[in-house]
Amino acid sequence: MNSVVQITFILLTATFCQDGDSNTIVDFDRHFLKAVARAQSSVVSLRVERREESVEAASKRRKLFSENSIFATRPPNAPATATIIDPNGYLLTTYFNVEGSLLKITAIFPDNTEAEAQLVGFDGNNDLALLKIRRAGLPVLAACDPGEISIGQSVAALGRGPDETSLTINPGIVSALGRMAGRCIQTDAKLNYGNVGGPLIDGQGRLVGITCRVSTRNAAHYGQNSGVGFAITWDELNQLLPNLKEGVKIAPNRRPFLGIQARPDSEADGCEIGDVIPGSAAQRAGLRTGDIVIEFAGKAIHSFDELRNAISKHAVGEKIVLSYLRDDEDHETTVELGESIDP
Amino acid sequence: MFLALAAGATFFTPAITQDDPLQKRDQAIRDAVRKATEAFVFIAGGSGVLISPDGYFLTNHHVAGPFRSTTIQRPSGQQFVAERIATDEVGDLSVFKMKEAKDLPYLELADSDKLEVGQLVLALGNPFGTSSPTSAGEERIPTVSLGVISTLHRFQGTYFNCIQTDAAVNPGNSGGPLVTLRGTLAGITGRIATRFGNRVNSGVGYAIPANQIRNFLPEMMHGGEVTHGCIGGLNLSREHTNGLGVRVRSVKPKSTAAKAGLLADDLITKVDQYPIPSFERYFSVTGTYPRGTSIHVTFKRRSEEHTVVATLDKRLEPSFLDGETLQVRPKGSGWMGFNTRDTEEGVLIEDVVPDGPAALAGLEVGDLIVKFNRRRVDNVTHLRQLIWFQKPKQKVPVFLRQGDTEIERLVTLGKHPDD
Repeated sequence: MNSVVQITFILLTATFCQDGDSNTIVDFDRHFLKAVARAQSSVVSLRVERREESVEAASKRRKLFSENSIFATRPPNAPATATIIDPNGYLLTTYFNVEGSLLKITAIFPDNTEAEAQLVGFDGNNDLALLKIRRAGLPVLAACDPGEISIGQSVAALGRGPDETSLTINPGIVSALGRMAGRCIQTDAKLNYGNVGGPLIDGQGRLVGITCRVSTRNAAHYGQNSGVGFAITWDELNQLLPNLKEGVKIAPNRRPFLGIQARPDSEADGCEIGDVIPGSAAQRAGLRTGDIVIEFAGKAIHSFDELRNAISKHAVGEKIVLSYLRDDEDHETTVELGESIDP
Repeated sequence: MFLALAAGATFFTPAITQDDPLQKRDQAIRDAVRKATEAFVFIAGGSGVLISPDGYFLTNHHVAGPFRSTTIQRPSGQQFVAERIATDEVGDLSVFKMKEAKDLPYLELADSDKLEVGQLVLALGNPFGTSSPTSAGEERIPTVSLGVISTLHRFQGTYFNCIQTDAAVNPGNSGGPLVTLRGTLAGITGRIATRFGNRVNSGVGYAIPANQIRNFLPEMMHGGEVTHGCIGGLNLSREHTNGLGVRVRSVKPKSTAAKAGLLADDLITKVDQYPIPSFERYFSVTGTYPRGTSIHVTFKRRSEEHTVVATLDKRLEPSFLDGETLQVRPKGSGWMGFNTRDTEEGVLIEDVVPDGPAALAGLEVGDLIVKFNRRRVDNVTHLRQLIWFQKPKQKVPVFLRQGDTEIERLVTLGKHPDD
């Protein structure tokens, strides 16, 4: 039985018409929908029941991540998405989807049947979690050839929710490769709390990656679906799966984050800033391209590596006095260290 | 199980034919991406794009305008020192030149008047700093996002005649190219519409159009001081004319408008080839020209049509207490905590920062600002100047129109977040 499919990409297809022939558009649609139909049976919905988080805990978290005071600190109370990655009952989803004090996780299939899911293992730094249900013979997606993925190619993020059985499709392109230290592709397909953990598929319905890294921490940095989204590649996933199946449980590291990129090949005696990340602690403290950081928390800084080491010795949220040179003049500023969300 | 999975990974579905429409579309996109990536420039936490083989490139003024020279990087990892040639603070455009550069790939400017709403475009940039360099000489990949031209000729204050797109544009994309599928430069992305101070894409991005850039390039490439133009001495009516034109309220004697032969009550209907249906559209079009440009103004006078030529003066900044105007926000100035834009009815509040001074005083999105500190507000630039003259903690009366009612609120200005 097919579930109801939402068509969300008409706007894109309406413009691609090489010679005014409307059949091209119809063909494109049909082709894309075939790919989706092939993939959708491996996409399931997750109902996650948790103990409520206290208001104090939530607002404490918010202070550390946010430059904006309004983004949500708690995930919405709604179904999440998972992808079937093994016919014998293994489901993959994001760590964020199952984080917190869990009471019960239920997987709901496209045919509306349910199965209770056990959390087998998780990796908070890669935003992944592996679940197991008592079922066999499940449909699994074929994977695309990782060498074939190219920037600009069409992809779609599939999800289930918010009403558990209907499929949502969010089309986009591959925006970049090798993000997150080579583990993820970047896509402008709209990702949000509802569809992460689902597959990112190509035009043939093959798995390109599993969408991830949409969480309250990421949302503070990238926004929920600003068009900057990430999917961990099948290659990476394959390498992490054995450990996840063994039951490894890695909570995410909380690393302090300043938000600058050093200028490569700088000859300055200090850390010369190449770029300041918009919205970061560094930007809020007034640092700019060209500034040379010479002191951090009372420690003299002669290179980017020294600065990085110095930062790592402090905690997220700490206020640090930093000295820098701008146009050969000494300046001082106070930075409040943010939190890193990259691996 | 694991082996079965690994085996599954090699069972690719059979290759599809070249005729398949998805392949064709993808190929067109990928070709445009490749071309644009080669011409892309990473600069000062934002983006830029090469427009000549010897290293001239564009970026936004707000990205690198204040820098006389800076180091930039191409996606290949190659670094160059680049010097600022000219910068247009009002138009938010800067021209830089890489030193010792030759035979570099670059993009041709599109004819932005020929762009179509609904047409696919690509935005390239460095949103949220996602393209970090690992070490010198290593590749640095810009981010690509796909969308359509949502609309053209948007009047967003000093983004006079901008392109609106739903291609994802975020902080870090500024200064970067908006590219057609033919690989031509449609515009430079530099602004996004947001709510509640949340600086993240909402599906509305703005780009400075290629034709405006073309109007300014000759002067900018020579390193000249760049100013936008206007017809001096022309006072226009905000009266709604149902798309028929914009009416002249008065003409200052001996001014450029007077010398061109314009009179009160004339109905301006065209500027050059561009129809002018309204007050807003007049400023939207004339804002794309530098001072010194000669433009044709077509108008109706007593049901007869006439066309005159006017040479544009320097665009007027609103006059002030001492006739002094500020180009850059002075450090330590007061802060309201809202975003506004120019509309036909006046200055409209577009965003209010939660818990900011404006929010706490009860100002809301959708309010029109009529008076600030007892002075009538002409436009956003004027309002900004009025705010910049205040200090934090000062209490300022603001006279608003909220729907049909007019009210006054007292705002206690805060400290600007950048200070």
